[in-house]
Amino acid sequence: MQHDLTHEAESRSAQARRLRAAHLSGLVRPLALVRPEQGALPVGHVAGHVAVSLGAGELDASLPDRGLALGALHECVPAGHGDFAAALGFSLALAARVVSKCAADARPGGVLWVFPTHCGFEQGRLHAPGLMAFGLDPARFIEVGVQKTRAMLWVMEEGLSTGALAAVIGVETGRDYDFTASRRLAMRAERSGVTALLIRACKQADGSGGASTAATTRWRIATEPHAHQLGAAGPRIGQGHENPGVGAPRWAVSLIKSKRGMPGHRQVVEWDHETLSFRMAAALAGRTPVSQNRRGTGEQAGSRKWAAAS
Amino acid sequence: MSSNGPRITAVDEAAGRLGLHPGMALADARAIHPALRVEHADEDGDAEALESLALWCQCFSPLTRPDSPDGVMLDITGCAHLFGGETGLIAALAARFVRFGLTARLAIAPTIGAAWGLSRYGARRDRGNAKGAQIADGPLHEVLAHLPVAALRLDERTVAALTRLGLKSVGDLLGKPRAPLAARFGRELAERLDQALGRAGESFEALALPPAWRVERRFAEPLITLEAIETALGQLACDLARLLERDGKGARRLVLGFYRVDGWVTHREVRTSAPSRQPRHLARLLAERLDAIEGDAGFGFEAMTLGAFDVENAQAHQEKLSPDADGQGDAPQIAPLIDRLVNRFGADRVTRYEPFASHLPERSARPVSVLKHAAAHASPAPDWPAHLDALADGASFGRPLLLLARPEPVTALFEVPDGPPVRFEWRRVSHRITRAEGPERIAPEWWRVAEGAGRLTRDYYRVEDEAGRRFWLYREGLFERANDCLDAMPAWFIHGVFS
Repeated sequence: MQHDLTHEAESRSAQARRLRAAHLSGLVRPLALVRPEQGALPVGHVAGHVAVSLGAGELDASLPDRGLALGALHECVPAGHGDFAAALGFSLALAARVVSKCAADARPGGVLWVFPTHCGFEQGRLHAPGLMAFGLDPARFIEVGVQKTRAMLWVMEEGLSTGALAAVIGVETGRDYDFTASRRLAMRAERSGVTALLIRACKQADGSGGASTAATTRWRIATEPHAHQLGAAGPRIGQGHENPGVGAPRWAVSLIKSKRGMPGHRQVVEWDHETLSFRMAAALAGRTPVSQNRRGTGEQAGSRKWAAAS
Repeated sequence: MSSNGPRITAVDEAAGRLGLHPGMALADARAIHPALRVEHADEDGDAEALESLALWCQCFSPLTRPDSPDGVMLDITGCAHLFGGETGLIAALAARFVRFGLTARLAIAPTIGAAWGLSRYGARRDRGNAKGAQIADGPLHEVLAHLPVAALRLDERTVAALTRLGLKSVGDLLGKPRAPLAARFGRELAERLDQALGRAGESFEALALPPAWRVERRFAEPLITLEAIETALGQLACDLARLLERDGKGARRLVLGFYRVDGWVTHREVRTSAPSRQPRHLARLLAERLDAIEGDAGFGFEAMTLGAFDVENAQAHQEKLSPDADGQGDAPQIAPLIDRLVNRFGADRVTRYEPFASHLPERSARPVSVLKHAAAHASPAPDWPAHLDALADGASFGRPLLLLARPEPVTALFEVPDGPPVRFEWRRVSHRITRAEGPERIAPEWWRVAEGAGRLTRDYYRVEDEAGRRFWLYREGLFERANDCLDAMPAWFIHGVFS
């Protein structure tokens, strides 16, 4: 008993020390940002927060640690009803970055995927071969199907407590997810270093996801069409090798909450499956927005290109 | 009920003193004692109660079985010393039965047959406070000699025939030549005699397989509260872990038994994904199964056992030198997490993906329970890149991220018969297609046609609509075939959603 008490006191003092250290380094962080070479680092080790670069400089720049913080809770909110797949794709892309970072640090690289079973019926179930495009090894996935949000939160907490995983991805559809629940997830994530990614059911028309939570970042994801090269007349497809194809996943991403930084504006990003990183879609595509009255020209340009290629 | 009306199947002690006995017609008994209280026989209920009593007896020995219609058999080999010898064991057992309100006649003997006969036909002798308990001390043929022949587990007709011949006790049979006896009464008599005397072997089919490793704790005061049970559980887990550690083993299945003071028993079982002998982990797994145990406790549990089943070799690993941190030092293991998930949701709800050699998308990957996956850990990890190469020719975005549980029909508008659709409607939402890739033709598996699997060729297209949403559509069937045999026109389905 005596031993237990002293042990508890010790751990309490250790915790206090840790907190003090975190606080101090939190004060140091603004100073560190002043130093010029800090900005050049792709991966920031700031205030005890380890972050992973997302690959796209502009996306990183909108985040306080110049990357996605590991050991934190991140939420992805689909902008509309049909954007669930986009939100899932974006969070898997984030998970892929986290897993690659964990692999580089020789940390465990498993992913726990928790989904409500009814969601599997409505939206479809995760298809393992489709994961490969994100550089995620399906063999490292553990899938848990749950009935209720409360069970989903329990699984996420368990996954975050072990530290034997790289990331935990959950889908939240019920009403039980509130500030307390998010705080529990965030604290466990912080303690173990496992990153929590939560896809939130679209409750609000504006896609804000309802009540405030303890998430470090919250993203709103919408699908984004590729350039309308084919014009309004309909597709010219299946005609041989000139087929532009569907291409890489492209999302319009808005950082609508950032705990230690500023919310960002809407950015269009693509997932590059070869470098397993994000890239800014607009910069690479180099397209100008095709307005309604210029669509005819766009179509002509498109058909000229076709002619040249064939 | 027999042809002559209802008969008595059992009597209590008071009725026995009045001269009533099983087999008597109820009408006769009523004639003797009109005030007789009669209950209907409940054979199923008796059998059930007997089985639960046999289960409860497992707190004295792991090998028990109900011996219908009215007995329980325990194999106490190597157990008696735990209770201070055979006398102590039988006294403890008798005391429990008295408390349960059972009239029990107990006997201990070197063979099953002798114990059976002694308990039912042995002369009553008081031994300590165990009323009527018999312990066969001395040579078996001497012990058995004065018992009636019915003590040899013979059927009624044989017993009656033997009695008619004047062979009333086992002793009368012992000196007789075997051949005439066997010729007259069949082999059964000789066999039963041999079994009772230990000349022939007899197998003991226990109710439950005994665990490979088993620990138990008895309590002077019955446990009622959850805290006390959890504490005891922690001690049991430590005991078991020590045993497993000593022998270099790990358990895949654990059964925790609770023995209530009134002869009721309940079990809690957990499975682990990897052989485990970490006491903290095992206790935590079991503690999660204790949700309703307090309601079941009644007057309390007097004993708890913990048995390890499916025991496998487990390599020893270096424990932490300083026991301060909570296992934070070395790399955390995934197995405890899996165990906790499996024990909460069931083994088939916690899955991993496994590739399957089929081009049909719904068959190409299948969820496999983590336990099954862990059991096959000797096999190499699945080679997903090679599988994807075989599936989609290595195309990175060739397969969707979400696959619908079953393909859903869509109404599609298309320009040319063999082209992708221009527009399609799915779940009442119309999508205008701006980009498409395909077709990717996936033929049916002709060797499975008999199973009613898809019989038609599918042409898959990856399409993108105006909003940038991407879908995986397919056309089932071919146009030229449709024209030939006037079959149904090819139909369009959606099978998956890309991110």
